[in-house]
Parts: sequence; C-alpha cells; structure tokens
Amino acid sequence: MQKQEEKALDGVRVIDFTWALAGPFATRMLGDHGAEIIKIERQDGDLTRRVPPFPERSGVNRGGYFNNHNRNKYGMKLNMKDPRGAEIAKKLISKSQVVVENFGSGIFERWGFGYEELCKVKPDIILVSMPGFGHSGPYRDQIGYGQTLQAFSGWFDLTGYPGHPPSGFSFAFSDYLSGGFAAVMTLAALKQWRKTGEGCYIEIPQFEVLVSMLGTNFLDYFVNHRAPGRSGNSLPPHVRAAAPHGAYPCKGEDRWCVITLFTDEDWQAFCKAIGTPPWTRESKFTTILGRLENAEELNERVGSWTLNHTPDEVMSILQNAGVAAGAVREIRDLVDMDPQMKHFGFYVEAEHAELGKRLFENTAFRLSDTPGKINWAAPLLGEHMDFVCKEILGMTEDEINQYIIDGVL
Amino acid sequence: MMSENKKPENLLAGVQVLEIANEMGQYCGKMLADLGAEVIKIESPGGDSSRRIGPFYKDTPSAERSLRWWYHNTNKKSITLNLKTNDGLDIFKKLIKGADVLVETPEPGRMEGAGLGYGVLSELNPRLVLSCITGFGMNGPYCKYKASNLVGAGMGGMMSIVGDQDKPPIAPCGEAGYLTVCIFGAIATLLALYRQEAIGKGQLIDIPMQTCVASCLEYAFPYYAYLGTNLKRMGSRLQSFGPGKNTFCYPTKDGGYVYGVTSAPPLDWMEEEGMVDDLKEDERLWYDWMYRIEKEEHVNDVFSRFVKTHTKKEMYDQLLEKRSVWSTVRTIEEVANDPHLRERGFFTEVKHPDLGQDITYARPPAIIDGKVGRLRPSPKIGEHNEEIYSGRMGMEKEEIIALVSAGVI
Repeated sequence: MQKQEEKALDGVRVIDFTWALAGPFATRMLGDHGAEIIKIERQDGDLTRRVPPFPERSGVNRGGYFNNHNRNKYGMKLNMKDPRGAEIAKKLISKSQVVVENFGSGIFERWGFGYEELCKVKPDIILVSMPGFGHSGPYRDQIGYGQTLQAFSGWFDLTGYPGHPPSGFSFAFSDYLSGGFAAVMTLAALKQWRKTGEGCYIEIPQFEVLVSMLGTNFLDYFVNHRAPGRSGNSLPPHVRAAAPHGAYPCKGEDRWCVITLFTDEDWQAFCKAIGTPPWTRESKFTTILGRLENAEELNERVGSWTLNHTPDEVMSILQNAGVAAGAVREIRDLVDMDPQMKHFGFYVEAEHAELGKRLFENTAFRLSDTPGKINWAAPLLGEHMDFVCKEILGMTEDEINQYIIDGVL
Repeated sequence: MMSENKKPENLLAGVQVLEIANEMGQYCGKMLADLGAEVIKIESPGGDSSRRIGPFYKDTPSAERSLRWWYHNTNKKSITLNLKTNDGLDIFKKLIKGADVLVETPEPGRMEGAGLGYGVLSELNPRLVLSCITGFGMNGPYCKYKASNLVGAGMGGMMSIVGDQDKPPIAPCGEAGYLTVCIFGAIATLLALYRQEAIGKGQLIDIPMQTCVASCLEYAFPYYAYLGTNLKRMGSRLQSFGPGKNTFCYPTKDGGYVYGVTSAPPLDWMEEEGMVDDLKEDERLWYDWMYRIEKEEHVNDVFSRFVKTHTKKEMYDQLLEKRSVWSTVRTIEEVANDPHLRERGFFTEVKHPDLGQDITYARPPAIIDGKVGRLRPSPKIGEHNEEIYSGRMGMEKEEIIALVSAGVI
C-alpha cells in the first residue's frame, strides 16, 4: 500500500485482535493517522462482517458497517486455536509496538498471550486490553455488550422523557466512548514509549469508562444523595438555569431545531430575533426564574414560532442574533446538505476491492501538518495475507501454502 | 515488564499543557491531567464562568463548590490571567514559550484579534501543539455559530437517532456532545504530541464538535451511504435490522426496566418458569433473523409477560447468575453501590482539605501495570499563581501585587 504523505503515527505497527465495534473504532483512529494496523481475524471473520447494511446481496466482504469501521487496516486470518497460529501471532508481535484486544476477560491469557508472556517476545510491547468489566471483580466473566452496558452503567436510566420509560438509545454510543478512550490511552503509552523506550500493560474496562463519563452524577450522589431522573432535553435546575432549552418543532415533517438559552443577554437577543411578540414581555417570562417556572407554556410559545420556519431558518435567524441554536440534523442532511460538513470534507470516497467506490466518514479532526486520510477501504477477509506473511514475517510461498492447507492461516 | 515507575500519571509526565477552555473542552484537559501532564488552567481573575454550573456541594452555589467543575478539572492547576490587558498578553506569551500544548475553546476570531493566533504562537514556540475545540470548526459557513452541548448533539446528527418516535428527538443524558469532542480532542492532541516527539515541531488542530458527534452514529451512516435508508429515532430499539440484535425495554413488576436483546433471551429460565410459550419449539426464530423480525410482536409479548412477573431485583440477580447479555436498567444509586465497582476500588476517596472531608469520586478508568491513577482535587481560583508566577517565572512579590491590583492576575 502506498503512503503519500507523512502521518503522525508513521512507523508504528499495531497487532489488532479486536472485533465488534469498541476495539475496531480505537484502532481505526490510529490507522487513519498512519499506524500500520494488522487486523487479525478468525477464519470466519469479525462478527461485524455479518452485520448489515449490504448493497445488493450479503457477504463477508460486503458490509457497510464493517467497511466504515475497518478502513486503512490490513486483513489477516489466523487460527489462534492451532499452536502454530499462536506462534505466528507472537512473531508478528515481536515486530510491533502495540497489541490491542477486546475479548472477554481471560481469553487472551488462555492463549498464552498474557502481558508477561508477550514481554518475552517483545520486552517493550504496549498491551491494551479492553474487557467489558475488567480482569477482576465479581462481574469479570459477564458478557460486555455495548448496548446493555449502557443500561448497566446508568446511561439509559437518565435518557428519556420525564414520566415515561427510559428511551434508551438505539445505537452503541458506549463503544465510541470506550473505543475513543482506549485510543487516548494507547497514544499516551506510545508517547511514553517514544520517550523512554518502555512499554506497559493497560487495562480499560468498558463498564468503568461508561461510569466515569457520568462522573458528575456520581459526585452529586455521594455528596448530595441526589437520585436524578429523566429530564428530556431540559437541564435540571440544580445543574443550570436554561430556558428555553430543548428541541422545538419546525416546518416540515418531523423536523426540529434545538434552542439553548443560558443568560439574560441570550433572552434579550432571542426576543429581538423573533420580533419581540407581546408574550415575551409578559412578566412571567422576563426573568429566568419565571421562564423556568412556566417552562411548559414557554416551550409552547417558542414552538408556535418555530413551526413557521424550517430548522435551518430558525438556526440562521437565532445564530445571527448570537443565540446558540442548531438544526436537528438527520443522517441524510449531514451527508447531502449540511454546508459545514461539506466545507470540512467529512464524507469522502475510497475504493473497496469488491464494493467499488464507497463513501466513508473522514477523520473528525484535522491536524494541519499530518491530517490523516482514508487511504483504502476495509480489507477483504484475509486480503493482506501475502503482505503480512511475506514482507513482515519473511515466509516463503511454500510455507504459506502449507499453513493454508493445515488450516492455520 | 512490570516496573515500579509505570503508573497512569507517568505516561505524560513532563508534558506541559495550558488550558483556556470553557465547559465544552475541560474533559479533554482532564484526560491529559489524569495521565500526568501538567495542565495549567488559565482563568480570568475572579474565576472561569463555568464554575457557576451545578450541581454544587450541598446545593450551595459558589465558585469553589461546583461538582461539575470539580470532576472536569481533577489533577489540574489554576492561574488567573487577564488576557484583555497588555501585561496579561506578555505573561501569556512567556507561558507559551514553555508549553507543549494549548487546549482552547476560542470564540471565533477572538484569539487572532488578540494577536494570539496560531501563526504568532508557533513563532514564539514552534513545538507548540494548538488544539482548538469548537462547535463547528475554525472556518466554514457555521464557524461563527455558537454551540452548546445540545446544539452539538443536534447538529452532529445524534439527536435524530435518540428518543421515541411520537416525541421530540433528545440527546443522550449528561454531556454527550461535550464528552465526544473532548475524547476526540485528546486523541488529536496526543497524535500531535507523538509527532512533536519525533520531529520537534507542533501543529494546529481543528476539532469541531459537529464532526466528532457525527462519527459516533453507528448504523445511521452506513445505512444511508449503502442503501439510502435514513434511520431515525426508534426508542430503545436498535437501529440495525440485522442478524439479530434487536433490543427493547421491558417493564418489571415493580416499576423497573429490563433492557433485552431479542437474539439472546434467557430461554431456559423462561422455560423453568413455564413462560417460554412456543419460543423454544419454533427453532427457526434463533437462526433466521428475518423470520424473527416477522414474529417480533409475538416474541416481544412473551418477553414482556415474563419480565412483568419479576421484580427488578430478581431480574438483576438472575440475569447476572445466568451470565445473560440482558441487563436491568440501573439507576445512579444502584451503580454507585455496585459490588463489582466496590471490589475494584472504582469509587475512591479524595481529600478536600478545605472542607476537612474526603469526597468520593469515580476514578479514571484505565489501569496501568495494575496501578490506578492519582486523583487530586480540582484547583481553586488562582491556586497556583504563586507556584507559577513566582516559583517558575521568577516574579518578585511586589511585581505580583502590582499585577493583581491592576487586574492583570
């Protein structure tokens, strides 16, 4: 694979045993910025190769979900249950800086890949382990599945409308939080390695990542014994006085705009921007305490104004007056229409060996000198066996064929 | 190999970070500080306005008692400095010369206007990494737009996939937009620091909340890019119609909720209690996910009836006992008293000398070579003025007094 320009992580090789979403998202961040990610898959492939959407027909090499999360990686199949497979993996590790895994606790050690063992083949290795619940404690062996971790850690109970069941959320935000956090930790370890030549062993329980991201709520519980409830889009008054603060209905089918006011200046600017209708001068709305107390009526009033405008009109009218407002973008808005996303170049094309030209999410931030890039799409299952076996491991064609016949590769 | 000096707070030892960040960007600095970077917050004299965000210690508002501030600023230092004065700018420029990173959440154009754009700063210190966390990016049509957590969650597309269909879109609880941009911000900053270690030069990083949030939508992007399907909110139901992970929220007998994954229900337990209906006989349900979707209403009825006959506590105990991926929807209080977290020492006491009291915090979730990170309380307004201005910059006492009385520090 050609590398056109310099990237932040040029020269770093990562042996990536991760599967599903949290782990692959962590290594995607590293791969986008030049790390060479060798994705080791079971012979039937990462589970998410079977996850839709599939254009036309399904197939392990045809999934859009897998493609988006595994671009810029090298694909390698390996039978880790065969001792020779494990040997090959160790040889790869001996030529790498980082190993990442997100199996259930204990699996990696059962393979003989505990940190102490890996240090024997590569004394300065960085091992990043992302178990669901951690390598100790009573829930160590529970299954850490992102969706349910969100329920288990407190996120779901707080997400939803007051007086209604939790809405949960229909995607694994948890995997992005713990995958992102794992990327932070890996990079910090790499930074130390670059400076001191030392590796380390990092344990990142995904459950604890999720709990830590609600840290203020736990402080509030321990200090004030507060048991918070669901509050929709409103900020609870013990957190921050903000009204209006929420999503308001706009012109069009199921279209919404977010409006968030915090200060008195925000309120003045808001009133002026919507033409100072008489209700805004009613005394119950002129103070923040009044607006909080009469939030329901306030929201109706605001909604009756927003209904006459599209989300983009509301946003532009209010933003031009200095009020924080934003359309509730749907995915098709982001991809097709949002001018800021276009300006940033957030959606870009790359060529997939079987699917042809496809759209990808670009890196979300931009480094001025080493911006990162989508160089190629996700690998076909085992696509880069030759590259890995020959160029990194120095195997001959005959050796490779024998391993394939024996079911090792 | 395990070594004594490897601890979380040593990974970034020696890295100097300046932070001029409002509530949007403080978690980024926290992650760096928790890993041992010296993060010096620059606050305006009188303290940062985000100190006014609650909840507060014992619900008593004060700039030193915001629990939100406490949690987002652990392990940092604070100095006060008025960047609107010439003396303040001079001091800031001296600080920049010794810094590796400046994390900022600038209002558009403000830093350039003050003569503190990247061009000027990098001339003072070519090693400087400048991490700009904003709502929409440093340029482009929306770059001057104001952002809030909710605006970020809306404009990044996340709200469109959270909530119930018959109600307004909502954001995941807490500060989902801010957390997301901060995690990406920390990743970007560490990438640039790694690069800095290699070539001795820093760079400018553009970190918009909108693109960061838009990177975490899981199914929504590939479904639209591959099939043109515009996925929207559907309660706790998973976005994917794939092999099987449809998810739902089921109420318990006593007002609690269980989050269930339809592909992996506790069928044996249901059978033991005579409540499995025909779900075991109809084997096709468990290998043909299309068929399961056809039968979804029936399957959900059976699950709902089963969950409804149990208390939340019974569900909780049995689901863990059976290692099910199903989970109860736990409250903050339940998570705060979780035996697993207790055994792992996750909630940890931090001394607050001024209160004469230990406060319980969620510790940083990563463990390095078996060691957890040190946690120091957030700084008070200007707590480190003397250490930095006199100790490090060598200012005389009289000089400091003069600057304080002139409103510079």
